[in-house]
Amino acid sequence: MQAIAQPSTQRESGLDQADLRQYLSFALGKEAYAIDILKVQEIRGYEAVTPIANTPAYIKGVTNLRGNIVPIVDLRLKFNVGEASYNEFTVVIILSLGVRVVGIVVDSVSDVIMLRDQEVRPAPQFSAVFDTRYVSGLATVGEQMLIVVDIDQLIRSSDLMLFDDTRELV
Amino acid sequence: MTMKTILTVEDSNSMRQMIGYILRSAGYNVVEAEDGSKGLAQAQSGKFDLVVTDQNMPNMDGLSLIKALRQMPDYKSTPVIMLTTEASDTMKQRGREAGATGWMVKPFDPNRLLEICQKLLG
Amino acid sequence: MSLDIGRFHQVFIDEAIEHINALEALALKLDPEKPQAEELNAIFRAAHSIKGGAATFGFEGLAQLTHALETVLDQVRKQAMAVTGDLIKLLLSATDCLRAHVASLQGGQPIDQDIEAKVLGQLQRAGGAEDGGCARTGAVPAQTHAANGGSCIVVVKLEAPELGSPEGMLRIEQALSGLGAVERLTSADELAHAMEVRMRLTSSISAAEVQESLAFVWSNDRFRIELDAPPGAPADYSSKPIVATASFAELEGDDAGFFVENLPASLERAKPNDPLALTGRRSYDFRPEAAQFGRRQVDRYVAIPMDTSSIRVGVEKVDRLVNLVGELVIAQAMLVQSSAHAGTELSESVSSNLGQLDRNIRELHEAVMSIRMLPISYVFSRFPRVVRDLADKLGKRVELVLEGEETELDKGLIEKVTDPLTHLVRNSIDHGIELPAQREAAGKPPIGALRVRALHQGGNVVIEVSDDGAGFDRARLLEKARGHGLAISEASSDEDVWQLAFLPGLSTAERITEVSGRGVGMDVVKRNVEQLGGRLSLRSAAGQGTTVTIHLPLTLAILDGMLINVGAHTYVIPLTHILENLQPSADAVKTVGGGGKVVRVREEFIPLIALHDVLNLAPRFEQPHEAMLVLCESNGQRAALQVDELVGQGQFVIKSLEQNFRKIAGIAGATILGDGRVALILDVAALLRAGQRSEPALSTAQ
Repeated sequence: MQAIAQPSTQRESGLDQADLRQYLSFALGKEAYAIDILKVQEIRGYEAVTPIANTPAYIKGVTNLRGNIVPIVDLRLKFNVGEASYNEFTVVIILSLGVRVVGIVVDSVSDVIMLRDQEVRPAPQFSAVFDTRYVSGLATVGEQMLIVVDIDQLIRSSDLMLFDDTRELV
Repeated sequence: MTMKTILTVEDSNSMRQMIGYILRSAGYNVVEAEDGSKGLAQAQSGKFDLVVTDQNMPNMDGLSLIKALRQMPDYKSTPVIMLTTEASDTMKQRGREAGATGWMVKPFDPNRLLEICQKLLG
Repeated sequence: MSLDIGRFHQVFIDEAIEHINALEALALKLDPEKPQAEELNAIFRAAHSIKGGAATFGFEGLAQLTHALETVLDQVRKQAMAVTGDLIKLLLSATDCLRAHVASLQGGQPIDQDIEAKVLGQLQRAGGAEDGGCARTGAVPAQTHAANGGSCIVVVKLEAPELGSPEGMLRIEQALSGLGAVERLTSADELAHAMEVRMRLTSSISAAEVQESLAFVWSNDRFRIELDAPPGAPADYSSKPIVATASFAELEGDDAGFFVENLPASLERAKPNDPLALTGRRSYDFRPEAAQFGRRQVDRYVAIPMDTSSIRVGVEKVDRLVNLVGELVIAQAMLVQSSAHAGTELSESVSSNLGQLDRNIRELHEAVMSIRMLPISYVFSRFPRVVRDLADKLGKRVELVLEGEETELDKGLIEKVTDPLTHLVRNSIDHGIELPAQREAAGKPPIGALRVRALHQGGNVVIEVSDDGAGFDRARLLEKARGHGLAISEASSDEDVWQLAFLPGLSTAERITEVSGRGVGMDVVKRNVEQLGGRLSLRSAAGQGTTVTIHLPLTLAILDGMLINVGAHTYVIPLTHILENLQPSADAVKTVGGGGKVVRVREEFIPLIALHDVLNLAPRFEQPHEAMLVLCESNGQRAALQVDELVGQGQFVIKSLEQNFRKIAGIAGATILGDGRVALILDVAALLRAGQRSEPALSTAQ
């Protein structure tokens, strides 16, 4: 539950309860996910990605984000959910994780929601898509179940091979 | 009460910063110069209540600075402390003749420098 | 009031390093035949400044070393001691010692006590021998008395039977007790593992006299005397109250005093005791140079500009500025491109404003890049020492000429070019310049000439290392190459033969230095230079010498490259690796064993690497004769890269892939094109290595 244990630095004024936290929810295929909004730098359309040879298909390539070279990962491809189509509705969430900036492709961004820490319940030891290591818990908003993802852990995991994993060319 | 202004002339960065720090901590206004000629230029462009100068410096040494200061009407009687590593009588005599008001041997205890400055500033 | 002067330690350390560098440079310049008074004064002042600061800030060991050095230099400057080769050697070993000492203060390697004690001993002997020990009664005892009430620390090395034994300690204590009060500073617990013991000796005699007395008891390398905690320990300062009301007389002491007649009338006049008046002694300095020195200095101040100050800023701040301006350049290029598309719709004033903006941004870019530029003297300044030490060791005589030391290049490059250049300089002395006798036998002057030169040429920095030594032995190199199974024709041009020296197998596996060749580690030098985006060339003539020329870009941030297309993708190939571009005829391309291809370029078969294969791309042209070939070279290997199309040459701002991502094999970095797209920069060295592995029969294939 790392994401939840982390102290939050920004809070909506007027909502002074210490355990209230903002999340960004988005869709991958039919499932709804939520990530700590403090990790989100910005949301952009999907455009001008330069592919990189000999990398897994879910690494779409790199793009120019105001002069920085930022890798773009398609989580739909990585987790085999939904259809990896790219059109004007395709959304890239730019994440700021410590010193790294990474973009993730999702089907759509839904909403910014507020959750209390106790509303995020531990996930059962099974998960259709994500390894439970990256799942902070489950939450219900209205009728919908949200999978709260520890996006930091997920992006940094060796599973994704995003950082410092040099593979030989030939 | 106006703040007393001290000119410190010292070529060593660390020493100059340290002296500045000591004197500022005691509430003085401090202007720093890196050698005798720059110190003289500072003295010409402003009025100082006290001058603390090192002796051994490039471009213009402390004794020459003191002699030059004493030629200037504004600095005829301004107290000048000469810092020197050499505490020989010869050096003291040269300081006296150049017109120094007092001398202090380096390395020194910062509190001693402060005492002397405070005394000379009345 | 508590004054913490510890905050100035780093300032002092930085300053000490500058002084040490100056000391070394000055020592190397000293000419025993006609030492310049100005140089001698400067060198003395460098030592003097370190000592003053070290004592003030409480770095005892450093103060002690520099005091001994200063004592020597003081006599040299007063011409009481001659400048000899041995003296210069001593000064150089002292600078080494100081440098090591300062490094240890900064948390580097611990100080080598033995070396330090040895150098200190040498300095003290040199300083003492010249004027009967007078010098030693100079500043150390003065400081010791003034600041520490006549106490000093005696450090005595323990010898075999005494190690860890309380009796040994007792004997040392007894030996010292004749001189004054002794206090043990090494505890009984420490003694069990100690190699030396420390004692505080409080005595009425000076440290120098203590040293002399103890020299009768122990050999000079067995003991040393350190200043007793000079003022510097911040805690000491807070203990004394400041007495603002004390009279002048009360304030006087060994460490400070007043000249009564110079006290301003406004201040209390009487009372300060005047040590000179009391003793009735008067001494004057009649040395003519003292007076002249003073006058000349006064004359000179007028000419000195009032402020030539500089500021120190963190490199990361500068880098951020460089990055931001890089962005601005790209944004500007995009703006210009989109305005070109707009064509006539754009009003004239907008285009002229764009032109103005373009010029301003260019200037801003240059100005910002120049902040990172440093003169190459940062590298060159170490060569006098390198040359001197190595020539001494090898018994050779070398005259070093440095040219263009003011040539500026990027700080990052300066750091990275230091090793390769030093290697070349060492190579020239080690393997190029012959022994004096050999040179004379060959009709050359006995002193070899080594010239290191830097200049700006176009957008590049050119650095040349040339010597008038033996040069390369062509026959020997060819023989070596054949020994390594390389098919080299006897008719090959000299240039091609010299290239052999850069082949890893040839240059490092076996030193071919006995005869004349140098080649030692040349492949490494070449690789380092290429990693910096530079290139290296070599000219040599048997018996006449060798010149190695390095071309470097001005900065690491910009790369000269060729834009190429493969299918729908655009890549950059660094120009430094490109030999030529060609479109082969169909019959020039052959398939060799294992499916690899080679292309015939003039008389040579060169392996062909299809970029679309390595990068898994769909090409526009499958066949090499329809496509373009870019002939590349790296680490002595050549290959032709097959691409669809050459787009053009340009300068590219290098962006790191690893900042947000990771290293990708075959890719050296990325850049942003004028339209905002990212293009990847190919890592030619890696591609060539990979190509070679997949195609076993290369250059010898026929």
